[in-house]
Amino acid sequence: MKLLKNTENLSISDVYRTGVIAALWAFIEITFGTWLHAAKMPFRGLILSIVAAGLLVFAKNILQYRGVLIMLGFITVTIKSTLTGVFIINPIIAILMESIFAEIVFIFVKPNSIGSIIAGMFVLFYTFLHSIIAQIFFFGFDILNVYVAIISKFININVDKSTYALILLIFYMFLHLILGAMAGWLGHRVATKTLIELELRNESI
Amino acid sequence: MKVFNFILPILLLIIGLFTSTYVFLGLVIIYLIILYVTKRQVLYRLSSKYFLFFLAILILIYPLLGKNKDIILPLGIGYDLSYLEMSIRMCLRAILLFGFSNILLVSISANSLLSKTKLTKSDQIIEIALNNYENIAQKTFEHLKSFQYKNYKINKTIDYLAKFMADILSVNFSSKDVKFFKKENL
Repeated sequence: MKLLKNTENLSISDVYRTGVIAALWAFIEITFGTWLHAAKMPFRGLILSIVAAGLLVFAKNILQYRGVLIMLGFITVTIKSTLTGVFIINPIIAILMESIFAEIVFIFVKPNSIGSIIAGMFVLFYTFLHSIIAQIFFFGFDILNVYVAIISKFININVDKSTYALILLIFYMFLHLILGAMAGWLGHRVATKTLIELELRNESI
Repeated sequence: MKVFNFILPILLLIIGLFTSTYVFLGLVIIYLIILYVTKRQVLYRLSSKYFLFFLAILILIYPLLGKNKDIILPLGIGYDLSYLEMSIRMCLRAILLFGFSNILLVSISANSLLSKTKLTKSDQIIEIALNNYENIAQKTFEHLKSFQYKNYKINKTIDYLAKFMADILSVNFSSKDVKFFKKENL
């Protein structure tokens, strides 16, 4: 893979920091993620993706070598499957795809505040696509009617079912984009302050 | 192997989204016949009693939840045929996905993915990550305990997170990798 050839020339501190960030991501996925899944928390995928988007943006701001995010994704997946002892396909695909999506975005934008917000939005946009495609794959298009039926029990609006489903989808997509932007911004802000903090400790990147 | 266990199920799943139940059912039956004739291993997984039990529940129980009473059963229980159609479609998808995901789980593992992508230094990074996992867990819990939720402000949270990240990214954080860094200093 041409993109990842730069990893041959990594400094030891880059290698160390990549490992630490991957361990942190895996730790969050294993503890918080498992708890969310066990508690059957609604929007658990969305919650974990917000954390992932923030971490990915943070990592790119701290470690600026090419392929860092793909590397992070692969290592997180390895640790997650090693320490939990199971290989659950859905979160693993999600982690890998999020990291690949973020890496692709950072090929085109710089990891500054605007670039970070865009990357966060793209990561969450993938989460939106993932949930929609996975649900249609498993349950077919009927699942949209089920959602419309559930919501119409609470809100009585006389709109055509397909229009209603479309409005819901668009709202759901915008929710993802806004939260992604916030995660990206937060990741960038934390990274900027972390760099200052590390400089104060005489540990420049 | 990839055609029967990977490409064909995915293709049938996509076709199944847009065709009628009868066409989808016909296609999946043909697929199962091919698996049977060619003695594919997926068929043995599909014929496990747990999986068949899951299918039976889907077809027998799920239509009882429907509003329409197309077929009246004893005790006045109704059997909804539109729900039956939905459960048949779900069963067909489950058959294809079960066969597909089993193959995927066997053929894909994180380690094989890593070796295929040829990420240099990935072994070293995994070692560091695993060595530091416990330290990070401990540090995270310590930070969470000391975090004052009552004085919640966005700037304070950012400062707090930055301090935490600087702590764990600091090369002094891990005692296990000291040798590793001494080499670089030399």
